[in-house]
Amino acid sequence: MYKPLPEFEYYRPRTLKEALELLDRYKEGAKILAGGTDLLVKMKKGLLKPHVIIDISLIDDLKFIGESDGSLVIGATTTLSDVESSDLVRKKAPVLAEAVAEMGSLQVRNRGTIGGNLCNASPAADTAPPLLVLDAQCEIMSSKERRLIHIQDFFVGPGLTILKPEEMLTRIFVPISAAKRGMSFIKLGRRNAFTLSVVSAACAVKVNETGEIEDVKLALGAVAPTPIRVREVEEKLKGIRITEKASIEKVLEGVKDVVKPISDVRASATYRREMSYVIARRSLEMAIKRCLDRS
Amino acid sequence: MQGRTIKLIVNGKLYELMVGYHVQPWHTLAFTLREKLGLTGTKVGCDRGECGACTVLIDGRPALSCITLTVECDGKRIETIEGLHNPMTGGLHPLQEAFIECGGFQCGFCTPGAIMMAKALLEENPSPSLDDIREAMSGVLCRCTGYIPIFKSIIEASRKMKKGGGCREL
Amino acid sequence: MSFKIIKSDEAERRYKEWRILGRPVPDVHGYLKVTGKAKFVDDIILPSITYGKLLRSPFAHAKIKKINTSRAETLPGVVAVVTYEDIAKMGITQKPPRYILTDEVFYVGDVVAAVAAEDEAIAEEALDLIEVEYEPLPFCLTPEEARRAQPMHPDVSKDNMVIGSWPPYQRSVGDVERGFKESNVIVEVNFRKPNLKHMFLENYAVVAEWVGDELHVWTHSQLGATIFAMQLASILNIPTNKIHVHQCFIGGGFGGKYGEALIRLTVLATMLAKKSGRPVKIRTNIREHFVEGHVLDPGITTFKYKAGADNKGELKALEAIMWAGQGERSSNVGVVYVGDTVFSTYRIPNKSFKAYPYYTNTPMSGALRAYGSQAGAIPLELTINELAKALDIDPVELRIKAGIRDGDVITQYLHNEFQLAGGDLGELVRVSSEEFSWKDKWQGWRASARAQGSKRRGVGVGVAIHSAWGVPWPDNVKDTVIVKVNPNDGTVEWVTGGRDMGSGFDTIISQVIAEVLGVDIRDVARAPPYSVGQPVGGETRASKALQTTVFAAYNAAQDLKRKILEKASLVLNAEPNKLVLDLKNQRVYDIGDPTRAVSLSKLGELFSGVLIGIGSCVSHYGGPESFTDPVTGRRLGMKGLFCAFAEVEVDIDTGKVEVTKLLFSTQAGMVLNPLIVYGQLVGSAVHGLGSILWEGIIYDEKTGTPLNTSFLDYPVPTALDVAEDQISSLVISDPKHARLTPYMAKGIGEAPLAAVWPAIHMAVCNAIGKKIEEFPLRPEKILKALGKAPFPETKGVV
Repeated sequence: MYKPLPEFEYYRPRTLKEALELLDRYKEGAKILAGGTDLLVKMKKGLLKPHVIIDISLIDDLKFIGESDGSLVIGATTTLSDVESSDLVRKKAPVLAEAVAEMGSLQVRNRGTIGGNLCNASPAADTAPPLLVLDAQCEIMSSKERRLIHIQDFFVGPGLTILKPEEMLTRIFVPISAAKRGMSFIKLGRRNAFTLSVVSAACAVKVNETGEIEDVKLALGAVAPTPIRVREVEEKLKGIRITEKASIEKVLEGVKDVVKPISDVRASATYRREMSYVIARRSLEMAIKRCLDRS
Repeated sequence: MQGRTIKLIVNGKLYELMVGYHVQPWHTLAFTLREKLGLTGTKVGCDRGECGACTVLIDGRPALSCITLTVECDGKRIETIEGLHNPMTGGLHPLQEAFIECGGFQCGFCTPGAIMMAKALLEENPSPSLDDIREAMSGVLCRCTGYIPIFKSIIEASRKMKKGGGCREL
Repeated sequence: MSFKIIKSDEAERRYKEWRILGRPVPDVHGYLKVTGKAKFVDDIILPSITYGKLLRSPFAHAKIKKINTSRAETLPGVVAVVTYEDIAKMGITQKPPRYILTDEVFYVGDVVAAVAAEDEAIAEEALDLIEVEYEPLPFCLTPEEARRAQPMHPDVSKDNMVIGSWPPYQRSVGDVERGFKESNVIVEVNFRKPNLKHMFLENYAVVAEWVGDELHVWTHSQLGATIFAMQLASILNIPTNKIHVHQCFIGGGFGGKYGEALIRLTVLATMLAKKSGRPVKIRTNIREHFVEGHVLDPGITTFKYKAGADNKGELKALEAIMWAGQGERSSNVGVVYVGDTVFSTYRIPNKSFKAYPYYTNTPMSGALRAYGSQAGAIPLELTINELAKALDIDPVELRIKAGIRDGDVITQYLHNEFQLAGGDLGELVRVSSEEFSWKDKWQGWRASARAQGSKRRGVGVGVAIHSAWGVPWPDNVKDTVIVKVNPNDGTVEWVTGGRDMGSGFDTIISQVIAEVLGVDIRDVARAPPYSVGQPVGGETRASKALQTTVFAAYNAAQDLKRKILEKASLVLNAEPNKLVLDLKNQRVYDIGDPTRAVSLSKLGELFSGVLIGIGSCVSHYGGPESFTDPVTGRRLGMKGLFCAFAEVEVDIDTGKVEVTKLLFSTQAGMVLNPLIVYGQLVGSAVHGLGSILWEGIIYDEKTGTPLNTSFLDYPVPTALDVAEDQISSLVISDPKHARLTPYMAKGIGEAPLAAVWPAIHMAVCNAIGKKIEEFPLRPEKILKALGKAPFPETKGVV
């Protein structure tokens, strides 16, 4: 767009400590740069004009995928490509890999990061629904403290997170469940690639031996000010037999009352509302199927 | 960061750029390549990461140079379209030959980005399926060809490279 | 993907005679394009260059009461600022008024002022320092609003309509009322189309530099260097030979860099360059793409078609009416082409066309791939479908019956009549329907029987016509090509004042010249197009190069050959037809005794001008007068005829459409270069696939601001939206379909999309068993048609 990027001071700390100290110093005047696929685009559109940019892409402590204490641990600056291709993620949290595979384009995934996607906090962020159904925890750090919060509390509004100006998202913990769950992610876009989600849904379900839904988690993206878990609907689904399609559908219709979509050039609110049901249903169906395939 | 020197290795050549003099922190890689290093082969289309025309390889992986800062590339290996042909003989890379033979371009504007994307694909996967190719190329928009000639070019290039890749004599 | 060329016996014979024509010769500029060395406008970097930016109106219609640029001018780094006050000061003729800058703005994004500065950041900052006092005025965005509104522009008719180049916008043939009386079924179709934009990857840009009283311009105008220079001369009021236009490679045009599209940008750059004494580059961004250049003519349009047929399936009458929002200005050529589709696609004895081209507060409208033929094809095709439905006839059968064919009378620019030379639309449809296995796939008008889960399958057919040959364009100049041979090594060079935009005529011309002169393609080179000293020609547009510039090149090569052989015959004392032109050995020899020869350099020494050939052809559709039918005495013309078949799957829960099969076909005459023809057909078809499903500029109703101004929000197809097994192309190669050119070929690069639109549209409607009277076929529209939930329109006007 050749709106040249505004001028800024650029720092490239090598350690987390350095980065947090810089954040402490500059607070709201600074923006974190990881992959740049959201930040630089927003700056080009004239939406953001930080005086200071703190590039955290060289901090080794933030760029890794590992396992620890029954959780998958992903550093915030792990690129989306690395998340998608990681054997660990594909085995332990496949729904996350599935979601990431359809994000942006290959070039965007090579530089965009999982932390960046979460901190950009678009209501349509595709890493959010999977992490919501995985009950992920976000590690947030400042130079003074460290806290862990459920991903659901991470998003506060469109483009807004719970992060204080001196805080940074550092790691994401994904509890690895022993239970034989089935998981799925479905994205409704406008064309087959390089498209934003109009509606997205992630689902994790456990069906017991008697064919009932024992446990289910359902999350939706792009239909509310933030990505959401539809707990009300989850509760009502528990105990229903998977063969009772009509009952399941009736309960799922309840998502339409929970979502708060907007109308924009991509889709109308009504369409998003109707699709939240359709995509939630498809996501649940696929998750159930995968659960059954596993057992 | 002012006063520091960053090192870019572009097509095998080392460029030492002083921040605040040769390059500013807010200069994108595309801008530096095109307007400071004279490498205008990389094109800028939408300039906001939505079209893929500016695709270059950073440490072997395709990235959008219009939304990458130059300073982020300190110490990294950058490959642009200019690095593919043999400057001494004029000989072309098999991908370039294949694009010509198979008509993988018309106006030529997305072509450098498309070829760099394809190069990364073939280096990772020398025998891509058609679906692999479509998946990889979905990050470069083309308004002229309808994509199928691009797919054909990449298949042909893959064939050439398996027979004995590298730069050809002109 | 299958790419089939069905060759007639005559075609086979001709192909065998050719050495180079008919072969898949790669783009002669291929090396430059694949190495990134081809220079586009933004690759031009001059010493002490400055960067220009444009201040754009936030209002759809407003008077500029005051404009104060003093703060911008004094910002360090700013080298020049221009406003409408500079137009008169710099002796610029705006043609007609409001061409470049005035004290009134007519659409959101209209240019108010321009700034040049040392870098773009400073230029941007300077824009913010220009103080403009606007007086907002009422505006209209759609033809419906325009119809009710007071006249919106200074020189508009009292009905608020654009006059354009081809009034009046009505015509009738036969007696439509009587035709309806003779009809057993009468159908009506209402249809709506949005504003469309080109979405080429390379945004509008220009570089301008004054060297003394000489102006240098680097442009990607599709007009070509020479014609662009003449246009600039008449606006800037300086001699044409003082304007040096360097036509760069064009990063996609599709009509969007044709006509007046680059004029304003270029004139502003020249004004800034003059005022600052520095070279100026203006490069626009993707958001500006939607308000710079032009949108498709016709713009936002409502169509109302009524047609009648008798029970035997004979079409009796067609009444076509359209109301279009033409934007700030338009030549209305697109409107006229819509009229042409009414009069030239089907055999209907009684037909009428009436168009109301309104001024609206949107950008000007102009050419976009298939320029009005595509807008005209879709309502016409839906009308034919309704007739077929009412008659319970297979829609393919109806088209086979009623399609235009060789000998029929066609129109060009609505008011000129020609006799069609070559082409048989019914036959094209028939052959294509077999290729598509239509009879197996067509399940009738009801929603498809093939229902899998929430997916429904449907099929559709569409035809389109475009481009013809037969009428002179006002202020026409013939296309001229010059061919030169080097006596020392027999290599050949050619030149004309314009280059192709990737559509291939540079390569085809090289092939034609190589074929005529008996050399290889590598022995032929073209000079880059440059306005000073080069012959006028080489516009890249309108699917016309094969009929014009290429014909001129053919004539030039023949001229050169003839001259050489004539002069050689004087030296060798033999008849020219007994002599052989042997450029490879730089000589001419006697076929009876090859030792009797004369060298090219000798000929060049003896006779002046012998090593140069000049050839011309009418520049724009003006067919040579000699092309008249000896029997009917009518002037002959050609049309491009196109057909498409589509199969889609519609998800009736989400409203998403997947095109599972797409076949497009044409009768191309001889295929001079299958690589080029194939690329053009696929490119156009995929372009069409995207537009019918996703494209359409969305305007904010309250402000008139375009809202979806990006590649993400105005989606074009990606590689994942296209599949090899989904797409097939069929070319009927028979010279009789293009017999008015010496090599029997005609242009095909635009209109596949014009046939693809109605084919996919019909397939979608067939899949859901419901009518949809508009496009893009957004999921909401499909669900609405299915009666699912009350879907209010997406925000904004489409």
